[in-house]
Amino acid sequence: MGTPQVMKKEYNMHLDFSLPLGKAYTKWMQALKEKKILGNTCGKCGRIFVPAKPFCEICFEEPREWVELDGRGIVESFTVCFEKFRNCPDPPYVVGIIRIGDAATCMTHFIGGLAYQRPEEIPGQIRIGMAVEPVWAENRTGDPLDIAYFRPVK
Amino acid sequence: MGDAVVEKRHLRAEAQGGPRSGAPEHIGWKVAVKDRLNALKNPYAHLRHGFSPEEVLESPMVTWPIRLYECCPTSSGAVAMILASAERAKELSGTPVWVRAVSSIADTFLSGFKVYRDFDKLKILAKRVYEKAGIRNPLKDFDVAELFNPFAPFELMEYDALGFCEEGKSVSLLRDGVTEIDGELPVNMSGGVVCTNSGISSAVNRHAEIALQLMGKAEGRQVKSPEVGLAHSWGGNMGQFHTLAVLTL
Repeated sequence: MGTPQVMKKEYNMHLDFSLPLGKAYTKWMQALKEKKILGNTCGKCGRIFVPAKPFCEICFEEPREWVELDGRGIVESFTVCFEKFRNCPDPPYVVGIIRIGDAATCMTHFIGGLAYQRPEEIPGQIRIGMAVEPVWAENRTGDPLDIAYFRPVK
Repeated sequence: MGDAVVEKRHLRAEAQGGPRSGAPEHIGWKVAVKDRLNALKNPYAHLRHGFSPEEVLESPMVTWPIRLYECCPTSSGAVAMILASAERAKELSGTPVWVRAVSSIADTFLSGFKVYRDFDKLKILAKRVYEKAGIRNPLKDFDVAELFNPFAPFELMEYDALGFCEEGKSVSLLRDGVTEIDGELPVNMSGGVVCTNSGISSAVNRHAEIALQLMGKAEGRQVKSPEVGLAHSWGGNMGQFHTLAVLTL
């Protein structure tokens, strides 16, 4: 008699839900359709938020003034994913924390347009502080993925 | 993935020499080795293999620079703690453990504000809890600590936030063996979350392990006569929520 094995069943729950985006995020995402990256500014502390924020976390003010940025940013941090995760692209791919212009906030996005032979070479292709620019998706629907990815500025 | 970014940010700040200096290379594997060695002595630990530097360093890369053996598993498990009045506690146990101070903190949900450099809210929480508990020098005042580290390198950021060392010196603390099970302040004697991650109970487990250590019931992983311990847990995908408890005999 061997040790009795405990059975395992794989399953997953499918959940549909919708997230009301509110005024600030709606305006910000609508602009992406037109290949525009906007930010909004807190009238009290003057910080610019990209992506736009519904309120300033420090002043609790609604940032009312909107600015258009050229979309260029710098890589504040990054990681290279080597494993397949659900709802994520096939590896390898790079996820970066990108600061657009002088924004007080950063956005998380993919970094692409890199030259490499083997996946292990990717981390060496990116450096903190590297300048990046958006590459726009062909079909834009008002979504952060209207920016297909950011690529190094040549 | 956010977790890998958090760590990269931390290492980058260290590599740049300020305010954290002295960690030009990835060091997370060394935390994993320490914790995985501790798990060998814990019959309740889920993972009790892969504890040599070679095994950790040769495990598959998940999200650079974090390898598989630096990541927590998905575990099944349960933890029970009995909380009672002082009188009842004395009836129930010959070695009751006292909650000298406990508190939680929550960060904003909006992640764009985060710079992923450190656990800044944990630092604020530690100050509050230490004040309540009369902790002046965490490294000397605590005899044991369990810190929530689903990814091994988080431990280093937590040493910093919890004031175990001067800010930026967490790597030296690890290198000098201060937080090994026979060091000055053993951390994650249980093997930590890197070795057993049973969802929410994994957070409670940090507190239960400290209680067991203080009661002298930690079996093979028992630290010699600890009297004051620190338990830390966190939640939220970017660590928005932290809880700290100072437990004493």
